[in-house]
Amino acid sequence: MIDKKVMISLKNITKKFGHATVVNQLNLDIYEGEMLTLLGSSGCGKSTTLNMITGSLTPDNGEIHIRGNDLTHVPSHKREIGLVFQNFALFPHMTVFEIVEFPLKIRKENKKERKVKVMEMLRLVQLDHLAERYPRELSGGQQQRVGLARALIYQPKVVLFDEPLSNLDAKLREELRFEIMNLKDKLKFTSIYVTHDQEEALTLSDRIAVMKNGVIQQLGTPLEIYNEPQTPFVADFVGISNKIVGQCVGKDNGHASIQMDGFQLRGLVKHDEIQNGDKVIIFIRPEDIQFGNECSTKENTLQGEVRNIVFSGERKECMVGVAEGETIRLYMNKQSDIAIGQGLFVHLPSDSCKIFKFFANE
Amino acid sequence: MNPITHSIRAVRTGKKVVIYAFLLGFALFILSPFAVIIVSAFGEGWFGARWLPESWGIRWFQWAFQMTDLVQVTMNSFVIAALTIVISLLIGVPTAWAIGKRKLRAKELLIALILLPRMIPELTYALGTAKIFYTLDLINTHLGVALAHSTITIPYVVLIMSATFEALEQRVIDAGGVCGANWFQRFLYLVIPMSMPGILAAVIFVFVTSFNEFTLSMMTYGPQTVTLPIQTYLSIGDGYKEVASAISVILLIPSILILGVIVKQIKPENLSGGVKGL
Ligand SMILES: Nc1ncnc2c1ncn2[C@@H]1O[C@H](COP(=O)(O)OP(=O)(O)OP(=O)(O)O)[C@@H](O)[C@H]1O
Ligand SMILES: [Mg+2]
Repeated sequence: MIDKKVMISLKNITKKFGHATVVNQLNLDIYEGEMLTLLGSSGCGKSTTLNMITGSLTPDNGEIHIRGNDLTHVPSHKREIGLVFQNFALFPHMTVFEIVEFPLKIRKENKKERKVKVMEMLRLVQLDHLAERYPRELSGGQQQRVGLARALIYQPKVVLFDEPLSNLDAKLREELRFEIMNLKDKLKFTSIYVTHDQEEALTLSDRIAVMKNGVIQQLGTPLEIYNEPQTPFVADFVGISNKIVGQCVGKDNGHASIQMDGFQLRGLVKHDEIQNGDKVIIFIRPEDIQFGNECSTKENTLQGEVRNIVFSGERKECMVGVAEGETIRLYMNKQSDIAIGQGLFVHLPSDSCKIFKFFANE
Repeated sequence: MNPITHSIRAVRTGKKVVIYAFLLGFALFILSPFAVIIVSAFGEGWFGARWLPESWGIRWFQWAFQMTDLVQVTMNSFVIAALTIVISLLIGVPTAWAIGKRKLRAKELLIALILLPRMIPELTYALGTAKIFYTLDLINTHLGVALAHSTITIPYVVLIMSATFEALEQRVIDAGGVCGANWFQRFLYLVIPMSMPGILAAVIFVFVTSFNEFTLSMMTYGPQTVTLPIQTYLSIGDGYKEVASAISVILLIPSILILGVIVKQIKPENLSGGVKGL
């Protein structure tokens, strides 16, 4: 992180709709120049949080500070925040030019200067040739570029993104993702980026806050979130993991031995308090699993048989059956000549096996 | 030709004939009264059981202008219609906003209440209105007649506009707020242009209703506020059926012009939100 000056501060924010608590005592500091991602599944309160920052909603409890000023009860139009919407929310009766000009018009800027600024911004998002079009005459990607331009034209210090790419196809998503990163480097705004797409979160952000049911589960850099999940929800939600359910049968300094149906594994216990006899769940990422035709070490090595192979373009994904009803997913080089039915030893390094208390799937 | 496509084609042609027959019948049904009015307004010497008059001319129009103060009467009609539009929008639009955009608890009740004046016979309602207007000394004023008209046009404005507002996407209006527009600017630059098809429909509806309103005008008019429909009625009462027809034709002109505007402006694509170039 650059210099850690707090730009946005959410202090103990709570929001209820009727009896449902959608955001629950949320605390979060966003630093100047940072891109922070709110990552969580649908309905966990991400948009609600953003809407409280822009002022479209008022929190039931708590305070929102931007650059040290309490903005909790300042109306939306006085907050000087940029917002890019999931469904674009462009003004249907205006041309691209008029839409991007709108914030400047409201700010009563000189007409000539307005024109120069708008055209420059449109060039930046590669829309200068479509300035006279109406939103419904544009493709989704072009519409979201207009949304970007409208949010950035008045040079807000804070720009919020509410799943800006989720309505676009995969190729365009990636293209615009890089464009957003470039724009951020150029214009140097602080941003909160909401998404349910973990790949987007991992590639875009300086830090990620993983949210569930209106509560932040873990806050950290993409590397920390991916490598060191602190809760089973984060381990499950971010990236792909093998999940193996068993029972704790022994503990020794930070590790535990887990008994499954027909085999035993040793793994790392870091964030949960686990007792002998507890039902637990082991997470291990496919790329951490080693395999071979011979058995080199005894511990955490299982003998199995290839049940299924999926070619995904960049690699082969194998499902290896290791016991009754237990299959393990692992990745192989795309050139490997593995075949269904082939026998295989798989080794699950004990430090890659993350053990958490079993949690009911929600 | 393939016999199947042949028979399909035959069925299609048959269907077309039926549809055109219906359309023609409908047109005749709707248009025949107009035909009678126009023929009697321009026809001279149309007596007895003749199908068509002896000769044509504009004598009845001349009579209309000589016998009645037609310019003043037309002016009255326009002034009253304009006042009715202003009053109906001023009262109807905020009410519609409350119904369409705010989450009102007693929404249905409110709508029923607004429609109440339309659920009793207009004459009864007009009598009550007249009584109040006499008390308030509003009889024989343009404002009085316009107020009376507004009581029946406001419900329609509320219905049309609340549906229009309800269909507006709140996110788009919120986006205006985030861009820096206060509520007044949001209303001026976003809500009104986006609601234009609805507003236009409401204005046209109010105009046509006020311009042609009879019962309420009858109960609230005075010598200074005779409207075209009232004049038509008075002319019939005086025994000049043809003059009444001539006045009706004049009454028709704005309605036809407005119909042209409706056909031009209210395209389905405009109503569904994307309002281009209004
Ligand atoms: N205006 C509202 N009235 C009542 N409930 C609401 C309202 N807005 C949101 N909710 C509820 O609050 C919860 C959180 O909504 P929110 O829009 O914040 O989710 P989200 O995390 O943005 O999800 P998504 O990824 O699907 O956009 C949802 O269960 C939703 O149904
Ligand atoms: Mg959302």
